[in-house]
Formats: sequence, C-alpha cells, structure tokens
Amino acid sequence: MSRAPARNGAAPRRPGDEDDICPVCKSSRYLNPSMRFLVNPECYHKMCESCVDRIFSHGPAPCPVAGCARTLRKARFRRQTFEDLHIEREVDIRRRVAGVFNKREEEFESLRDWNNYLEEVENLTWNLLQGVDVKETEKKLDAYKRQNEQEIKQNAAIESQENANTEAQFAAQREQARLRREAARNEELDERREKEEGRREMVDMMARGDGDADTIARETQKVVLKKSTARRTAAERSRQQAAAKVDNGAAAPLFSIQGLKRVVQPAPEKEYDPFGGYVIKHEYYYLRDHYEHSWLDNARSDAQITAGGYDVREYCARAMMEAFGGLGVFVEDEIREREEMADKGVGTASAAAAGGGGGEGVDGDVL
Amino acid sequence: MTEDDIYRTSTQYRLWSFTRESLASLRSTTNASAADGVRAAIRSQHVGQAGSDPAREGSNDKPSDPAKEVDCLTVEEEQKLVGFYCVKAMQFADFCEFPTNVKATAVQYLKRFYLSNSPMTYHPKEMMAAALFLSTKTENHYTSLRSFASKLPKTTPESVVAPEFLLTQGLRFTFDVRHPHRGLEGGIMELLGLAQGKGQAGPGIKQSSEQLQKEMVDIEPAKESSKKARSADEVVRRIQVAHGKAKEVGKSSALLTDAYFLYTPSQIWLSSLFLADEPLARFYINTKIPTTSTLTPKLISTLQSCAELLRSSASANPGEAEIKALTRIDKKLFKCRNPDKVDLVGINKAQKRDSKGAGENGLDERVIKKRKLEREKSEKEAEGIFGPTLAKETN
Repeated sequence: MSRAPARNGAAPRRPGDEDDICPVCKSSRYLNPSMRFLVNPECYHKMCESCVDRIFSHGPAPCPVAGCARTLRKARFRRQTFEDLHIEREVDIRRRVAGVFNKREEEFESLRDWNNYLEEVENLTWNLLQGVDVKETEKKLDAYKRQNEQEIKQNAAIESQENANTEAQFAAQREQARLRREAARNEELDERREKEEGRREMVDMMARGDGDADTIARETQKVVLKKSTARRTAAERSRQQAAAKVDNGAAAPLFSIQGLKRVVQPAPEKEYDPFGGYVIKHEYYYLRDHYEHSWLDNARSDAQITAGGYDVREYCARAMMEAFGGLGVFVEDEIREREEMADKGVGTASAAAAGGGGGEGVDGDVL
Repeated sequence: MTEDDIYRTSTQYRLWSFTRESLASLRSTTNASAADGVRAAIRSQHVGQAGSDPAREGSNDKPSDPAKEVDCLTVEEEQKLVGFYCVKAMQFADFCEFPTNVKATAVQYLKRFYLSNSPMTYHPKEMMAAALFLSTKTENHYTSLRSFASKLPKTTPESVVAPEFLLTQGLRFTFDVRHPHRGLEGGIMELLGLAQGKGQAGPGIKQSSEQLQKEMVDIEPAKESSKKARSADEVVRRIQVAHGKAKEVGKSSALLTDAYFLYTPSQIWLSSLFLADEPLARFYINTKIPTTSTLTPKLISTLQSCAELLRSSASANPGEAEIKALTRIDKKLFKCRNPDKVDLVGINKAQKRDSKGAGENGLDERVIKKRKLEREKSEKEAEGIFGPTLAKETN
C-alpha cells in the first residue's frame, strides 16, 4: 500500500498525521485525502476533524475514546504542533505554568533567590507533568494566580512588549537586507547597460570615421570607466543614505537597548512654587497698581531712579504692609498672655526671654 | 499669613514689646541693680584707697561706709535724663542732616539700651553718639567716622566707637526698628486715592469707590469752628493738612514716649492721624474694618490711649525749668556714677588683644613686649631677599 499518491498536497503534512486512520471513526486518508487530525489538551486523544464536528457540534460531550470519558469542548480542539503527544502536553503545561509564574530576574534581589524560585516552579511543573499530587498542585497554582493577578498582568504586558520589540527589530533587519540586495541588482544592471552603450558609441564613431580607431577606442574606454566610477560612488552614497534613513526612521520605535533596568515612571511634577506654599493674605487692604501721591510721580518718571530697576510699586506694597502690619496686634494683651505663659513655665525658654525676663541677662555686664 | 502675623515675626514684637507694668518693673530692676553696682564699686575703690593709706584710717576713729551715703538716681530721674539725651540726639541728627529714619532709629536704640542699662553705669552723653553712628550704619546712610566725630564737640572717633559693642549688646543684637513713618505714607496714599474716587474699601466691606468718595466729603470737620468740606478737592487739601500734622507727631512725640514699646507702628501712625484729624481717622478705620466687627471698639480705645500718650509727650524743646531740673540731675549723677565704667575708651582698648591695658587682663606686659619685638624682627627679615632665618633647633 503506497501512501504517496494519497498525499496530493491537499492537506499540508503535519506531525501526527502519519497514522492515517482515525481512532474514532476508523476512516483512513485513503478514503478522505483532506483528512486532518485534531487533539484536545484535556486528554490528548487524537481524532479526525469530521469526528470532532460530528460529536461536539452540539456542545460538550465525553471523549469517545474508550476508557477516557473526559468532557471535551469543540472550541478547545486544535492541531497538534509536535509529533509526540507527550511533548505536546508538556509544552502546553509548561506554557500554562510559565504564564502564571512569570516573574522576571530583575525582580529578585540575588541570583540565588531567582534560582530558588525557578526550582520551585520546575517542581510544580514536574508534578503536573508526572501527575503527582495534581489536585494540590492545581490548587496552589490557582491560589497564586488569584493572589498575584495584578503582577502577572504587568509582567505579561512587559513580555509582550519585549517580544514585539524584537520582532520589529528583526523585521527592520530583513527590510534593510532586501533594500541592499535590490540596490546591488540595480547597480549591476546599470553597469551592464552603460558598457553596452559605450561600445555602441565607439562603433558609431568608428563608422563615421572621424579620427584614429585606436584613440577612439581608448577614449571611449576612459569615458566608460569614468562613468562607472561616478555611478559607483553615487550608488555608495545612496546606499549610505538609505542605511542612515533606516537607522533614523526605525531607531525610535524599533531599536531597544537590552539589559536596561526598568524604572518606575515618576509622577508628573507639580507646578513650581518658589515660596513653598507661603501666601500673604491681606486682611485690611487691597493693593492697587497705582497710588496718587505727588512725590511718587517724580520717582515714576525720573530716569535716574528708574534706570536702576527701582519700581514704585515695591515702595507702595511696602508702605501698605507697614501701614497695616500689626494693626490688630494688641501688645498689652498679647504680651501679658505671653508673660503669664512664661511664668507658669509652660512656655519655652525663648518665650521667657522674649517676655522681658531676659533683661537681667543683658544688664549683667561683660566688662 | 496676614499682615499681623508678619508683624509678629519681627524682633520689635518679640523682644521689644511690653505692657506698661512689665516696662515699669524692668526699669526699676535695672535701676536697683545699677545702684547696687555703683555702691559696690565705690566701696571697693574706697577700700583700695584705705589700704594704701593706713595713716588716714587710723585718724578716722569712726569708720563710716561711704557707699551707703551715695545718693543714686531714681527711675524718674533716669528717664528724664535719657529723654533729654534723646532730644539731643534728634537735634544733632538734624544738624548733621540725617534722614528721619536714622534719627528715629538712633532714639529708639537709646531707649532700648536704657531699658536694661542705667545712666549711672553708662552716661547717655557717650551712648548718644554711639547710637547715632550705629543707626547711620544700620539704616544704610553712610557717614565716615572721622567726619561724624568732627561734628560733635569734645568727641574723638575712638570715643564714638568705644561703647558700640556695649550698645549692640544692650540691643540684644537686634537692629531692626519698625517705624510708623512709612506706614503713614501708605495710609495717606490710600486716603488720597479714596478722596479722588479711585480707592477701594478693605476686604469684607462692600462699598463702591463713588460711595466712599461721597461719604468722604460728608465727614465732619476736625474742629467745630472750621467749615465742612464741599468738594473732593477740599478733602484732598484736608488730608494733606492732616498728613503734615501726623508727620510731625511721628517725628517727635512718637519717638520720645514709650509708644514704640507699647503699641505697634501701625497703631502709632493711626493715633497720630487721630490727633491730627479725628473724624477722618475714624472714617478711614471704618473703611478698613466692618463696623460690626469686635475689633473696632478695641482698636479705637487702643488708638485713643496711644493718642493720649503721644499728646502727653515731653516737648522736643525743653523749657527753662526743665533745663534746670536736668542740670540738677546731671550734678547728682556726677556723684553717683559707677567709677569702674567711666573710662569707656580705656575699657574698650583693654579688651583688645596686645593693647597696653591688656596687662591687667591676664597677659604679662613683658610677654607682650617680647612678642611685639619678635613680630617686628620677623617682619623686617621677611622683607629680605631670602626671607626670614629658619628657627634654630634646640639641642
């Protein structure tokens, strides 16, 4: 029985397609050349596409393989990647575990911690693979997933970003290589055409017969050479330009430096306040821009005064501040209060000194 | 922070504001301790004299204590004397054509200094010159020491500078004095604006500038005899008159009384405006503080008492009777001065290093002389081409 004629290129050959008989319906590729096999990661039992359609179209159903009886859904069926289903399963499990335990080396303080973590994860994976304490391990996995949902999501995002970056880099490199090849091809074509033209010209000149054949040949040769060198330098230049363009254009989004530590984005800076939140609130007056006072007019217009940067408004602000600074301060009451505080010993030493008790300290003289 | 909070940060408020009682008690303790000092100094001097002259002691069968007989100045006499020298300082400042702030600061320095020191210890005549010179420095009005000293009779640059450190110590190294003068200018600026209908009432009062201008014209006249203002121009003239009067009060009686210790500069200039034109001042306060506020009556009563204090001030030109009283006090002071503190220039010199008087202060005169010789020698040698000789090693 020859298999070769059955494979008419209808379905591309994939691993796992060797056993050409479906274990469920027993139909063979011989009868159905476009047969494809699918597996469900629930139990990894292989069956053909038509069986999947037939059995699982109306919702979940038990696996038709004898002795399995796991409930399978149609959506989970897929084509297998590896020929060996054990490996297929292992890869699936590893992918799942790695999706949950996606911590990165940068997050660990020392290499030892990182390695310990990896070992732990590997133990867990191995348990799942070998079917040791599956229930408990699953529980652990779930618990961890629930606890660290946020972190897992963040790390996943970082990883996908990295993948995208590397892919973009590869794409850029490919594009560059293509451009280079094209340029080389064009160059070659140009050169050939020019040579052809030069030769034709030489023949024309000789046919016209103006001048010695040898000199004509030499000169044409020279012209061709000159042209070719000029073209070569131009091509070189354009290639450099193209390279530069690719560098510049692609650098910003595609180029990424590897091995950098990720830094947390600082919160946007607040608007700068030179006084650190210190505000003067006027209680008794509004400061006006212009005050009528005969002798201020002189200061406003005199070049000798204004040239130095003197601003009359500064004077006005100061005068108004002095006019009302302390209007509501009743020295008699406030100082008495302060003295009483000092007498009670509640106040600080400086308050006592300020209260006038310090006078004796000064009058004891130094001489 | 409000204007009041800013004033509360000043040293004038923190160190130099008092109640009337604390001011009086501070002065009497200063007087008492100074009198004790004078008696102790006279006694020790007497003992020293007696020790060197035993024959005299022998002849004196009843050893009387001369210190007990010393008649010290009272607090009032001290006050009068200091007040007189404040006036002198003002006159001298006028003579030197110093600006008002220099003059006022100097007077306040004197007043502050004599809160914790007595004229019996340091004579105000010497302190006056020092205070005035210090205030030219702190108020940024440069005057050279030589020219300053040459203007005062019987004064040398040394005698001006000698008590300077004492003075700064008495001032507790706080040189900032808040005067009411600039505040008065600010207030007048605002009043003029109000009179011309461009002003604005303080926060919390809703009155348009036109309303205020109209009200201003209706203010009662300062004196019953004078006529009521009829137009805004007349109001402006009235403000200018009040300004001149208040300025005079600020320049003289505000300085000579204890107003700076008892009130804030803002209250002082408002009280001087009160003295000059009471209805105008009342109107102005009403544009600043709502009439319903509890602050108003308190402020008015404070201003009234301050105005009373300013009115009662000693005049800047003492009469004949006062001069007589002052000469009597001065004569009394001559007898009760602290003999240790008379020669301020000498004391000042003695404090300086390597001075002649340092012998008493620990360093032996021979040591000083030796050092001086060594220094001169090394200076001379240093001028040579190869520098001074190296120190010889002692074997």
